[in-house]
Amino acid sequence: MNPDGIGTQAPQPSWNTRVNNCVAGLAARQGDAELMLRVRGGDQASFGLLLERHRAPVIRFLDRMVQSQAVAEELAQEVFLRVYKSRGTYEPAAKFTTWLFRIATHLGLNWIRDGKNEKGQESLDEKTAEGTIKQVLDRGRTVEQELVYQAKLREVRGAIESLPAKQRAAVLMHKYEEMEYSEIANVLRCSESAVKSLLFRAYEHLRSRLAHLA
Amino acid sequence: MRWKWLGFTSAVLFLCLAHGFAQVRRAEPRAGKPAKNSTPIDEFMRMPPVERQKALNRLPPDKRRRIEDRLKRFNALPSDRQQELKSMYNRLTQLSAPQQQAVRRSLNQFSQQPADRKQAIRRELWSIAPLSAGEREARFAGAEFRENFNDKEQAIVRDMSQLLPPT
Amino acid sequence: MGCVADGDGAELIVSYGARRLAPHEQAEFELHVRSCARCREHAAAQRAVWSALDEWPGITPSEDFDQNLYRRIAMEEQQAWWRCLWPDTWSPRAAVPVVLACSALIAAFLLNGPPLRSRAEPQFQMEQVEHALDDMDLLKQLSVESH
Repeated sequence: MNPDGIGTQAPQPSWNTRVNNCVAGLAARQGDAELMLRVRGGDQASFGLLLERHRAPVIRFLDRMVQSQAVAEELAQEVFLRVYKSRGTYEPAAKFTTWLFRIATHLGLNWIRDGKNEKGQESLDEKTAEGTIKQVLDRGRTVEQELVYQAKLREVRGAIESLPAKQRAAVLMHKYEEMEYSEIANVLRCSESAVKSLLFRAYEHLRSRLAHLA
Repeated sequence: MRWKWLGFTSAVLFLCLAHGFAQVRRAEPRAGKPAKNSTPIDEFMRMPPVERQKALNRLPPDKRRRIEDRLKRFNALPSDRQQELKSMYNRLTQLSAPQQQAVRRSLNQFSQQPADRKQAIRRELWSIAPLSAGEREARFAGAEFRENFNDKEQAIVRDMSQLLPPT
Repeated sequence: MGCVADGDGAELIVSYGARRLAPHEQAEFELHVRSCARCREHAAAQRAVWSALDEWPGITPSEDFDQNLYRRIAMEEQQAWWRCLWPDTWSPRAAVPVVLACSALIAAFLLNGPPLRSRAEPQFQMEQVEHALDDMDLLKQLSVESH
């Protein structure tokens, strides 16, 4: 008998716990394309699994593209909304992540092209100001170390922001998503040699701006 | 020509309406047969997330937010606690309507009691939980019970004893 | 072995900085770099860029991201079936006979058709959920002091 309660039955895992365990188990066993085909068949739980798996990378990619978390999350929602809306006609012709990042890159490039990136610098400064105290608390750095770190981060973000949009996208996919040239080419719908050209010019520019940080 | 046009548009409209009704039907939650002893919260959470959100979207924004917060808090409880509450809830809803009304009234009155009296009532309920219905009645008729609890508290204990698991 | 001076080394430099060269390629490149100042300089700069980019932490998605997404999906789906009733290609001249046909169909449906399983059911379900939450809040106080 539970002394704190007036009567109990044998404890059972909550529905959420059972679903979360099911999610983790399924995720380990099923590829993205297979899950998306299930979504096409009406299985919404599989959409949840895909979201769980790819939410963070897509948001991070878009955040580095547009340099605003609010905008990145809005664009990321649009990405997954489009994935969901296209479920009826999905065919696993390309890798799922290629398709996903194609949509994300398209939306990111459009956002940049539409000239809304004036906000990017403002949010960069705001984030830096907010980030200083929080980072000191989180990482145990001294204030001086934190200021140096933030200055370095500002330079990195500024350097990435100074890249033309397509070069920016290529670098972010190459560096943070660890995509090969062929996959980046599929995302950007160009040739592999075009991707190499984008990347090499981008890295050359970044070397000129960031090499002194070594 | 005019009648041909009317006939054509009527046919197209009929097909669109049929498609729309089919979509409404398809969009209804595929909750399946409710499990034994499942609560409305369980049935709601069993719905696909999109359907859940559609149902929430139909509510006024304030109400929607309040229910979302309350669901979040409930689902954040440890699973054994949730199960305990669901068991009590199911026993409550299996009572007749007048009995349910009485129990809810007593629960409200219980919430207004001072902390020490709440604890005394809880202990009493805990101690009568293993007793049979006859033994509980005998306990309620006894002098000790009437000495320890005032009339209001006695009514609360009697009503809430209906939530105890059957013996 | 490609060299920056020859224009061939760019890919190697980038791959070297990203630590994506195969072990034998890396060994070969490092051997070349020992004797080529220009490649050495570029390789060091590329490694510095890579390390600097490593320092940029990724953000954590907000807690209500999923909820907001599902809300958007639900809104889209609710609008979708309205659109099929009036596709963009229809001209305004079709409005009159369509309205007449619509009224006739709705009247026929209401008089003779099966009862519509409408928004009443989900709303009733939400009321049940709300009442269940009310009861749970009351019942919580039985176990422990409410927190």
